[in-house]
Amino acid sequence: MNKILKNISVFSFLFIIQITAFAQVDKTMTICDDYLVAPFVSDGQEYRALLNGDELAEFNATFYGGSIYRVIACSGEAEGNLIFSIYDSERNLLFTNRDYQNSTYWDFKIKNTVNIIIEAELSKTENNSGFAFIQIGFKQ
Amino acid sequence: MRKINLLLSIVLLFGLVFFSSCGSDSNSSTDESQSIDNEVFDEIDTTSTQIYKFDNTLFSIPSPYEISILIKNLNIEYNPNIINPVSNSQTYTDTYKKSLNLGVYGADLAYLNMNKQIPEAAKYFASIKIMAEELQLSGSFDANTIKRVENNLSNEDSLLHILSIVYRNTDEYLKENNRQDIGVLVLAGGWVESTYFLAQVAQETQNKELITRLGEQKYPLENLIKILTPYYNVSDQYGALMESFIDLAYVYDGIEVEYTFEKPVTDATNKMTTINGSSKLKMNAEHINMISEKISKIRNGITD
Repeated sequence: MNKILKNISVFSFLFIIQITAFAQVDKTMTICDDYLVAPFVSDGQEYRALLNGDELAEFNATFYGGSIYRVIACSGEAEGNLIFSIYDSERNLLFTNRDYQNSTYWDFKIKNTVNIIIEAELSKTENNSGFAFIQIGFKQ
Repeated sequence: MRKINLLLSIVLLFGLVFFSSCGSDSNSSTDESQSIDNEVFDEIDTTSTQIYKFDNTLFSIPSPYEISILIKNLNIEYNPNIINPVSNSQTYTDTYKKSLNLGVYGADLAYLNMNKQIPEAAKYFASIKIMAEELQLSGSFDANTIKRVENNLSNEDSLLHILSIVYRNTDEYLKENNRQDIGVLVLAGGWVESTYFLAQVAQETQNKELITRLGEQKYPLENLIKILTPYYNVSDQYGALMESFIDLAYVYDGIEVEYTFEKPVTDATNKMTTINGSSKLKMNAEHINMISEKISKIRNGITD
């Protein structure tokens, strides 16, 4: 009987972790989606990475000249949990939301087509691990 | 006894999963995007420990819709001959072709939509719907989303927005369900079709902006190859597709890019940063001809 209880406890624990993770992911995506509204159109892809501690996620993208893009960065159940920085292909820093209270979104007006690198990391004041979500939208 | 213990545990666990799922359904939000997400998550095997596979370096491909918008904004006349005939959809019998052409038809639908070809757009969407069902993508092509698309066929702005969300949910659904091998094909199909549009229209019109944009596909192509690399050995078809992209990349290697960094300007009030860096492409007519020839060959290999 002890074994049954042990098995149930282990399964329940794993199950609760997964359900909690789903609920958190769902909430995070809703926060992100709130900023991907007209006139911005999603690029049709979903970018996510699981981060632990100081880990960085790197997203490589191309932004076309003459366009306006919106980058939305979310993690956890509140805004401002994810720090994102944008670099060009030569690793020159173009922007970081760290300078703007970890703003959840930022728009980018692109003069000439550039290959960019988006680096995302969890805010140190928040959780030690979690999913980093990045959404990219372009202005219609 | 050990077997009975295990069996009892599994039965209880499934009971727990079942009741919890019911609870999750009853809490469905009225928000459409959230309801789509819930459906996606409901279909995930919650006993799997490999749901969240990830790679901390991700590569993005620009939306094929951006090309259609550019072509439309340049007032270039609609050309019905550059899209893949909808009748071809019946000839795609295997998962590989269906997945690639789901991406192709997504790009075609955006092109039709931007050019207000409503009856044709409806036909293409009907085919996309069937192909998505056949690929078991009901999680992202649910009844509610289908209704929204059908109700907005004549509204180009709304349709583009809804379709982009549908394709993003498809991408998410495939990643969640460890079916990225299909997701990468949908992505590749969309890129090939939009680059094919660019090549066709650029050659026909000799428009400088389109020619430049065609040359700039050098970057997304590099990312696409990186996205496809882990799937090279999935089948001979995947291997051949990737080799055709690598062959195209060799042509793009001949195009030199001169990038100059310039300090960006940030307008904090409007949460906007202007990226001022400039890049010049050094390419000639031969590059354009070779790219057009190779992209046509790849595209026809997908659609024929």
